[in-house]
Amino acid sequence: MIVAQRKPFAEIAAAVAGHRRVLVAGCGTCVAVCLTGGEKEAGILAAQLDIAAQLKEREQAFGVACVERQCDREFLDELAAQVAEHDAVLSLACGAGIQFLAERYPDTPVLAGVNTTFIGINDEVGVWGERCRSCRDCVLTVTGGVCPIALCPKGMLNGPCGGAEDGKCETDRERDCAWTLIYQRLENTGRLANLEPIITARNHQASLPGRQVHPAYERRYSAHE
Amino acid sequence: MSKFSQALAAKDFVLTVELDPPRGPELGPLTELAKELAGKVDAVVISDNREAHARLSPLMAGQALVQHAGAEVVMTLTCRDRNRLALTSDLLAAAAAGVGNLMLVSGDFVSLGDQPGAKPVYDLDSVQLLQLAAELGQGRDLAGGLEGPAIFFLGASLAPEARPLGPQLIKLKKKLAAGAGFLITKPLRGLEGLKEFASVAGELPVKLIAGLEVAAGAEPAEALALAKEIKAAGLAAGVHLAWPGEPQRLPELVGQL
Amino acid sequence: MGEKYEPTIVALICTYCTYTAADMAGSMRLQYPPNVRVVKLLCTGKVDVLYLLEIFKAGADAVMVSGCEIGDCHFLEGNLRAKERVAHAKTLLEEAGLGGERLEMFHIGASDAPKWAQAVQGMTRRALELGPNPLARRRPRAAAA
Repeated sequence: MIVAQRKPFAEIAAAVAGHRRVLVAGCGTCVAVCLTGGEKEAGILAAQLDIAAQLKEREQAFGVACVERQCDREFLDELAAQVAEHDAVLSLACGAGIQFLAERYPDTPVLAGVNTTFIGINDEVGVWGERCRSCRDCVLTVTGGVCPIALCPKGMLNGPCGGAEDGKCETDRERDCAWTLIYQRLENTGRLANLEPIITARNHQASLPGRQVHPAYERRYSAHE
Repeated sequence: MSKFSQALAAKDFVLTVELDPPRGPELGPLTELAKELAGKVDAVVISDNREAHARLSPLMAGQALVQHAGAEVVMTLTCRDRNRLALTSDLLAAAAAGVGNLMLVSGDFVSLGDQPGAKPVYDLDSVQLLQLAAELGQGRDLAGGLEGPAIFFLGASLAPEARPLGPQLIKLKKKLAAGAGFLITKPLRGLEGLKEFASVAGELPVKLIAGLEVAAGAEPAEALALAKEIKAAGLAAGVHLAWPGEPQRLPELVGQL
Repeated sequence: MGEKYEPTIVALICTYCTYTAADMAGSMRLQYPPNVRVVKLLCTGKVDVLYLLEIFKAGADAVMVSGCEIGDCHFLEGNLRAKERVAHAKTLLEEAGLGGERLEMFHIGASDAPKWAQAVQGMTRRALELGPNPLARRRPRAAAA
């Protein structure tokens, strides 16, 4: 899932300061699961902002809404009436949801309430770990299901750097060296030969904005383009 | 064939030193130091933003030492600060500047430096950078033909003390396959790790130079003792000395070997 | 204006322990300030951060959450969760500018009537020291009606 972190309160408070009626819009999918931007978090943040506004004697009102997903047009449509009643929307969705909300309601200022941090997994209650950089050229088959792009700070593709010590990373001696994990996983499963070929320089076109069409829909969209 | 590659082939024991370019634009003192070292060492290795602290470009420093100090230069180039285009153009420039040897490494991560917020590049890793330099020697970059070859003697780094050794050995094999012609180890803490590495790795097809560093504020006695032992026991084809705190004392240290 | 400040303290308390202690305090004729308004919960594990913020928005001068002693929760760990939520709510109140000291967590066993009386006394003293909840000025209290 996509993991996000609430922005510092002072930053959010400053961002909403110029708006009288603010809709705090949660998203019920990824950011709800990581306890950052779901319905409950939207309610809590709205209450906090309300308290802060009252203490500053600012005439502000904070509404709360939450949709299933801010990255789907049909769910965003549900917000139309509430958006119309507010001067700004503070979105607690990931960066994709915030942008789609802003695109759907282009006449209303849309503000970001969270910092999107990574694509990750739920390690244990309240703890998430990064696993994927969406690089568009997955090497996990070769690297034993451990990603050297996401888990090695240098994204090394051909083995560990010289900074690895006792299976830990040079950037933090608590952090596992991704290449040690890869080696151990492949050794355990008898696949060390995977590491013999040199992986050559990668295609970094992932820096271009992505767009993909499902093969079953290609005909539909190519007809209009 | 660079002078350094000839020395490595011909001599029983080589000596190299590491010099940092200045953290300012004045190259005079570095050039003077290199002049003092000329004849005493087989090569001067110029570091590249060592420990992720910005310094004058190793390319410019290398050129100055080649032209004004008559030094045999090994230029370090890291993957940390340049993408493949910048690496290619700096390598071509190094060839034009008369730098014949390279030390191609991944580079300490930016968070270990004084500007931890810098964007780390790592477009290529150290194996791929060796491949790029080897291609340049054939007159090609990663996209295709160039107007002429840029020929270098390629060096790679090795961490014989890192454990587990398995992943390091795989990396070493790839570096050799990619064209590494010599190896310099990371600064050693002792000799046990190196001996254990040698017993596992067996005989290497290229010369291995043992890296030693005099820590800031420390006296050189320990490094000197290790260097003498390495030389006497033939544990490596040479030693590479770094003294980041007091590089001006390197000639004196080298004189004792 | 000018009238004496009598703090309103909302206490969210567990039926299995603190509520019994409070009841016993009455039977024992223990004296404690009349400022506390008790809300009985099946377990303090039901306390939500949002409840706490909303109670302050509604004008409470202080909020007490009181559950079982550590290790004695009828539902094993409801009081532990409440403790963490109260700590988190304190930081949220700090961020919002109201301050976290108006909120406190207590652990009071069913037989500990004197501890309940002391807790209410202490919290009332704290509410007096802190002064009225500034949010209350803007929303006339229901109690005044």
